[in-house]
Amino acid sequence: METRAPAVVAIVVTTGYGPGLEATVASLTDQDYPALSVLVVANGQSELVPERIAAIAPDVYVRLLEENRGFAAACNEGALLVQGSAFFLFCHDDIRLDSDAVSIMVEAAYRTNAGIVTPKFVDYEDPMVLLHVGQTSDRFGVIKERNEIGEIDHGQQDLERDVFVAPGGAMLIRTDLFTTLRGFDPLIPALGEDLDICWRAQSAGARILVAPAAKVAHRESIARGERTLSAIGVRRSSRQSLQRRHQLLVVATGWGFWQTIWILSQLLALDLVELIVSGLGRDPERIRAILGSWRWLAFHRRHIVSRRKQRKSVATLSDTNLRRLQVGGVNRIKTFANTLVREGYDAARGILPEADEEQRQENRVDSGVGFGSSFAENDEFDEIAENPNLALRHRPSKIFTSFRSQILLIGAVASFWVIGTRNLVSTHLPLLGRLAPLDSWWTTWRHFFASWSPNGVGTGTPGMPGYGVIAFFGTFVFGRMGALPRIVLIMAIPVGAIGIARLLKHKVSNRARILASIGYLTMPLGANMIAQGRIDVLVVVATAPFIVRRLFELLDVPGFRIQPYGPNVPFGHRGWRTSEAGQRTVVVMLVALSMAMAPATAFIPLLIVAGVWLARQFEPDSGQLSIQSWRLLGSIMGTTVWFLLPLVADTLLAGRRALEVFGLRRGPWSSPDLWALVKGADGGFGQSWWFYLLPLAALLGLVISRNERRAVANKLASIYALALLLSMLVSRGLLGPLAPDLDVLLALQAVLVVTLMGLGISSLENDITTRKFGFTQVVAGALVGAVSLMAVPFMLDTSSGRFDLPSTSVAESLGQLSSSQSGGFRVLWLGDPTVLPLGGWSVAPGVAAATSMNGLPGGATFFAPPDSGTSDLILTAVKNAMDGNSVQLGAALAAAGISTVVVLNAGAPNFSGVQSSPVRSAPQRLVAALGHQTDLSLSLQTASEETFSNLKFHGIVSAQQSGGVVSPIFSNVTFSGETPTNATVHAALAPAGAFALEVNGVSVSREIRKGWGATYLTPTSTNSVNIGTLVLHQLPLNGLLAGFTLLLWLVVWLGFGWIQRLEWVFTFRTSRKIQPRRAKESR
Amino acid sequence: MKSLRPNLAIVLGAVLLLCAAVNYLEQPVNPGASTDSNLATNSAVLYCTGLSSAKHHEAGLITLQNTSGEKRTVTISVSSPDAPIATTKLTLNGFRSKTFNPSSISAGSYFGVLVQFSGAGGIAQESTMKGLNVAPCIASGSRSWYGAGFDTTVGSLGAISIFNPSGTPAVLNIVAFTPTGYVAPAPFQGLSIPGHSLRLIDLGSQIVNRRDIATQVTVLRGSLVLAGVQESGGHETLLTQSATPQVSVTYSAVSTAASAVSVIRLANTLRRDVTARVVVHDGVYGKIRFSVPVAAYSTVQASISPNTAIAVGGLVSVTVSSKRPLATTLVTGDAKGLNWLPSSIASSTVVVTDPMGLGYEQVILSNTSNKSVHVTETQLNSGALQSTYTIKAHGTLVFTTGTRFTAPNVATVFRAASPVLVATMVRSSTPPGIYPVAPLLSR
Repeated sequence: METRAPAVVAIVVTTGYGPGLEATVASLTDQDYPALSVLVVANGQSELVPERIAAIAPDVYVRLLEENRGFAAACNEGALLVQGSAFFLFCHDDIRLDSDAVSIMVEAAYRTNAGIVTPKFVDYEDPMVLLHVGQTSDRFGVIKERNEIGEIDHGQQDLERDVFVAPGGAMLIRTDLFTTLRGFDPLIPALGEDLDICWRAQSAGARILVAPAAKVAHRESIARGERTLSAIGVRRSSRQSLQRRHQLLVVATGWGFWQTIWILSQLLALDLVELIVSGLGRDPERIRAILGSWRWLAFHRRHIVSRRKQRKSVATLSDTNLRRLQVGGVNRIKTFANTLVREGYDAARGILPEADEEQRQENRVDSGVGFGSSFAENDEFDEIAENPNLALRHRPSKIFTSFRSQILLIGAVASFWVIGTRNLVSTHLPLLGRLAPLDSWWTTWRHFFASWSPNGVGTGTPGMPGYGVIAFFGTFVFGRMGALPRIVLIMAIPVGAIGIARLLKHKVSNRARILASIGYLTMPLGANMIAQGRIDVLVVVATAPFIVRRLFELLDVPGFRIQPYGPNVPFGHRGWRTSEAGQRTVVVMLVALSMAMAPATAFIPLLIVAGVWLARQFEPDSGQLSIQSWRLLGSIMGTTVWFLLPLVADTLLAGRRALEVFGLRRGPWSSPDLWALVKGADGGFGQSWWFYLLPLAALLGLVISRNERRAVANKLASIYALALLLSMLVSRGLLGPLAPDLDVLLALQAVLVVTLMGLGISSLENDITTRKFGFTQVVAGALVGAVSLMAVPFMLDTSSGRFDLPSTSVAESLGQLSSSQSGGFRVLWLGDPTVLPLGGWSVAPGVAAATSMNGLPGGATFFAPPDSGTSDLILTAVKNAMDGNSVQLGAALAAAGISTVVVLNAGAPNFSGVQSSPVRSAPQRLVAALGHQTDLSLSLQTASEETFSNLKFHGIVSAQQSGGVVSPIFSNVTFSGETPTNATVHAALAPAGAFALEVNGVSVSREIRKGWGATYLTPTSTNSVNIGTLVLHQLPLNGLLAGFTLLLWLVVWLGFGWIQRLEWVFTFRTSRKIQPRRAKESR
Repeated sequence: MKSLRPNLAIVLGAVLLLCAAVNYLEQPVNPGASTDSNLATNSAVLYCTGLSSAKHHEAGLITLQNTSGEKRTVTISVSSPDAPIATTKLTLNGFRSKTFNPSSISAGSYFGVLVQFSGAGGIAQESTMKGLNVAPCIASGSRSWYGAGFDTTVGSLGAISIFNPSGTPAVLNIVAFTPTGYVAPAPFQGLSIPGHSLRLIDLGSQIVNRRDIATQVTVLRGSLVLAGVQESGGHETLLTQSATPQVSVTYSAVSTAASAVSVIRLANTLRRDVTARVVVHDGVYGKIRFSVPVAAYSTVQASISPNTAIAVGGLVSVTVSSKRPLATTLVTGDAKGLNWLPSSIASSTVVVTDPMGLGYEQVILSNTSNKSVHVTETQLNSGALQSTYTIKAHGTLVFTTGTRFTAPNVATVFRAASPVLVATMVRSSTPPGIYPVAPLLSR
C-alpha cells in the first residue's frame, strides 16, 4: 500500500541470546505505522538470530556482525546499510513497544521539529511502574531522572516536553542529524552512548523531546545484571567504570576550552573527595573506577582532540545556553547524600548485600502511592486484578522496612538519647561510683608508672593499668580530663548499641539490627550504671558486643565467620589484622582494654567459650571447623595477661586476696535477686514489670528461631544460662572470695538478651511466615508486643536529662572530714563496694574498705591493687571490731593516720522527688560495732551514712618527745616541715623501707614498727629550726613494668600493618608491593 | 528442620531451676548486731554498770573468770560521774578467776566499768550485798532497753544506770509505765550522755512514790549499756539484762515459802489491752492457772506468794504467756527486802559457774520449746564431754549441785541445738529459795 508517511527504519541491536528479542521484533512488526522497516543487527554470538527472527517476522532483515563491538558500533553499522529513511529508531532487544508508539513519536518529531524523540519507558514486568520519561544531566554528565524511582504511572508525566537526554532502549533520531553527528561514538559501546549523542545533538542545536503517549516497556537486562557486557574492550570493566569514563569523555569534549578546563578541575576535586571517602569506606571498586576513568581519558587523548574538532564544527549552542538546558548543582553529591540519609552508607556507596537489594526492589514497589492506597490499608486493594504480579508477590511487614522509616527511627532514638543525657554534658558530676575527679593527664600517667601509691596505708605495688588507659585517652582530649567521664557516660551505651548492630550484621535484617540496638539502649543496666556513676562498667557495656562478635567469629559460630581467615601474614604487614592471629589479637586487646577498667571482664570470654561449648555438646554445628574452644580461651587469656602485666603482678602478689581482683563481695541482702538479674536491673531503674519484656522477647526469639538462627540462639541461650547461674551464685555470696562484678556479668547478659531478640525479629521475618497458624504466631505476636512496649519506660527515664544521676553525693557532703591541717590524715571509707567512691578491699560480705588521703577521694585512688599488703592492718582491725573482739578500733586506725571513718549506705542522699540512689546498707553488725568503739565518736548520722571521728587520731606523721604527747607534724601536702629534736617521729606510710626522713638534709636512723610503719629518732641539734622531709627511695621497677607494657601495646598496634606502612621511615625506601595484598585478592 | 532441641532445653532448664533454687533457698539477711545480751564467753569486751562504791552504798564488785586455758590480760577502765576515768590491768591465768573492786582505782560514787580481755573466754559478773546479788556484765551496748517492776516508794530507790562506753555522745528518751498509765517526764526526754561517761537516772525524781514502774529506754544516738538499780530495804538489785517484752516467759524457781513474797510484775507497753495467762507448775498439786488483764500502757502484778490458790511450799515453776508481748520481772523476798529478777531470754548455750564461790543448791535447766531437746554438758577446764540429757517440751532438768558446778575455777557449759535453754540457779537460803534466785547467763 502506498503511503506518504516518512520512512522509519527500526534498528534492533541484539547481543547473545537476548530472551526478549522475539517480543521486541513482534512489537515492531505490530506497529500501526505504515512506513516502518525493521533491521536486526546481531552483534556477535548470532548463530540462532536469523532462525528466531524468521520464525516470527520473515520480512525482517538481519545483519550478522562477526564480533561484538558494542551497541554504538552496531547502530552505526546498521545505519550505513540503510538508504532513504527519514528517521532511525535505535532499539535494544529487550523492549516491547505499544502498537502506536512509532506513530506517536514520528508525529511528535514532525510537530515540534525535534531531532530526537524518546518514548515513555515503563517496567517490562510491571507496566504501571515508570522507568524513564526523558532524562536530564548536570554539567558533569551525571544523569538525573525526571521521575522518582518506582513511581507509579497515573498519567502524571504524560506531557510532551523538552529533555536533555533521550535514554537508550528506543530512540527516534532524524537521519540527517544522525549523519551530521557522525552517528554514535564507537568508543562508547554501551552505558553512556545515549548521553553522548544527545549532548552533541543539543550542542548542534537539535531539540530532544519526550513523547509520553508513546509507551515502551524496557527490561533493562544489563542494568539489572541479567546480562553482562560482552563488547570487545569492556568485558573486564565494571558498569561503574564504564559509566564514569564515558561521562568523563562527554564532559571533556562537550564544552568550550575554558569551560572544559574549569569543569574538569571541579570534577577532579570532586573525584578526589570521593576517592578519600571510598578509601575510608574500603570501597576498592569505586577507587578503581575513579582512577581508571582518568587514566582511560589520558590514554584516549587523541580521540578527545578529534571529538573536540568535530564538536567545534557542528556546535551552534554556546556553553552558557547549553548549561541552561541542564540541571544545576552536582547530581552525584545529591544522590550520595540522599541515599546516605535514606539508606545508609553501604547503599550510598552501592555495595548493599543482595538481600537488602532485593528488599529495596520490593520497597520500590511497596512504597508506591497508588490510588487505592489513599483509601485502603492494603494498597493492592484495587490493583490486584490489573496486576497479577502483585497478587503473587510476598508482602512482608512494612513497619520499619523502608530506609526512610529506619532513619527516622534512629533519629528519634538518637534525639531521645540527646535529650536524656543533656544534663550530663556540662552540669556537675557527683563524687559517686567511679566519678572521682581525675588528676591531670600527666599526673595520671605518673600514677601508672608510680613506685608508690597512697591506697590503704600506702603501697609499692605496680600501678593499675586502668591509669594507663585513662591517661592515654586523657592525652587524646588534650588533657581535659573532666571530659572523659562525661564522654563515657554519654557515649558508652550508644557505642554498645552500635556494637550490637555490628554483631548482627549479615545475620538479620536492618530492621532487626536497629530494634536490637534500641533494645540495648533501653536495657536497665546502662541507665543504672549512669545513675551510679560506674564508668568502669560502662566501658564494658560499650565493648561487650564487640567482644562477643569477635569471639563468635573465632569460635566459628554459624553465620559469624563470613569468609575463612586468610593465609598467615608476617606480623606487621598489611593483612595481618585480617588473619586469624590478627583477629585473636584484636579480641585480646579488646578484653585487655576492658579488663584494665573492670577486671571482671575476664569472665566474658570464659562464659562465651563455655556456653558455645555446652551448646555444641547437644547440637553440633554442621560443617563446623575443628575449633578447640578451650585452647582458644587459654590462648586469648594467656595473651591478655601480657597486656596487663602490672595488674597480673599485683594479683600474683595478692595471695588470698587474688580473687578479689575481679570484684569485691557485695552484701547478699542488697544484691539483686534472680528476678532483678533476669531483668538486668541493679539499681532503681528497671524494677517494674516492664523490664521483663526484653527477656521475654529474647525467650520468644529462642523459641521461634529456625535453621542457622536457631544454632546461634542456642549458643546465646547457653551463655546466658551460665552467666545467670554465675550471677546468682555471686549475688548470694556462695562463691566466697570469688565475686566478679555483677554489673559486668549483667552487661554480657544484656548483649545476649538483645541479640536473641534481634534473632527473634529475624525469625518473624523469615521463619514464621512459612509456618501454619499455631503457637508460633501467638509467640510472634507476643514478641512484637514486647518489642513495642519496651521503649516506654526508657522514654520516661530520659526526663531528668541525666538518667537520674544524682546532683550531689554523700561523699561531697562530708566537706569537713578532718580538723587537722598538719601531719596529713586519712579517711577510712566503709560500705558496700558498689557505693564506695573509690577502689578498696573486702573486709566481709557487704563491707569494703578504702582510704583517701587528706580529704575526699581523687584520681590517685581511682583503682586499688588487689594486693592489700600492709593495709591489711586496717582491714583486720575493722573485722575484729565487727566480730566484737575489739572496742578500740580508733587506736588501731590512728596508727594508720586515719582521722575519720565513713560508713556509706548509699552513694547519694535520697531526697524524695529530687534525687534517688539505691540503698545498699552496710551490715548492721558493722554499724553497731563502730558504735561500741570506745575511741570513736559518731559525728554525723543520716540514712545514707554514718561518720565517726577518731578520738585517738594523731596524724599520718607525728612526733613524740620523751614523756610528751603525740602530736602531728609536717605539712599534709609535702610531708616536710619543722621537726622536733630528740624526738620519735612516727610515719604511717608503707612500705616503711621505701621512705627516709632527712632532717636538715641528713638521713636519720629508722626502725620498722609493727612490721610496716617507720619510727625515726631525730638527733639533738643546735639549730633553732630543723626542717625534716620524708623522701621516697624506691627502685623504679614499677615504671619499668609499666613501660614494658606500654611498649607491648605499641608494638602490637604497629603490627596491624603499620610496621610495613612506616617502613620507609627507617629504611628511607618506599613501601614495597607486598605479598599480603595478593593473598587478599586471591582470597 | 528440627523444631525441638530437648536435650539442650533440659540442660538450660535445669540451670535456670538451679538459679531459682539458689534464689529461694538462700534468703539473705543483713547480719545485725547480736541481740544476745547475756554473758558472752567469747567476747573480748564486757561492760558492767550500776555498781556503787562503799562510800555511797554497798561496795559493788566485779568477778572476772577466764574460761579458757590461755593466760589473759584484762584491761579495766572505770568511769564515774564524779571522778576521772581510771584504768588498770591485771592478768588471769587459764581457768582462774579474780574479783575486782572499782573503788580500788576510782574515787567515784557510781561506776561504769569496761573490761577488755586480751582474747576469748572471759566472763565477768557484777555483784552487790557481798555477793548475794549477782548480775552479768553485758557484751555490747544497745539502743533499746526495758526494765519492769521498779519501786520508788519510801525506802526504795528505783534508778537506771546509763554507761556510754564509746566516744560518741548518746541521746536517749525514757518513758515509764505505771499502774495508772503512761508517763513521759520532760526531764527524761532528750537526755544526753557524753562519751565514756556514766549517769544515774533516779526514777523517783519524776515518778514519786510509785510501785511497779516499768521503763522503756530508746537510744536516739549512739549505743549504751544500761542497768536497773533497785534498792529495797537493805537489798540492792542490779538488773543488767533488758526485760524485753515476750509472749511467753518461764520462771523456773519461784519461792512459795510461807514467809516469802513472790510476785510477777507485768508491763504492757502497747496501746491495746493484753490478758496474761499465768500457769503455776506445782510438783505436788499440778498446774494452777489464772489470768491477769493488763491495760494498755500500764503495769500490774500477779501474786504467786502469798496466793491462796497456790499451796505453800518450796519452789514452783511459773509460765506467763499472752497474745502480745509483755515485759515481766519476778520480784521475790521477804519482809526484810526484795530482789528483782528479769525474764531470761532462751539461749542455745548456758554457762554454769560460781566464780565467787557462793554455793548453789540447785541448777535448773528449762526447755522453752514445744519439742524435746537434747542437751550436752561439758566442763570447760577439762574439755571432755561428760554426759547428754533430754529435756521434754516445756520441761525442766534439776541438778542438785554440791560442788559439782560451784567448785572454784570450774565452769560448765550446757548446749542445745537451738536457743531453747534457760538456766536458773538456786542459792542456799533460809527459808529456801527466798534469797536470791539467780538466773544464769548464757550465750
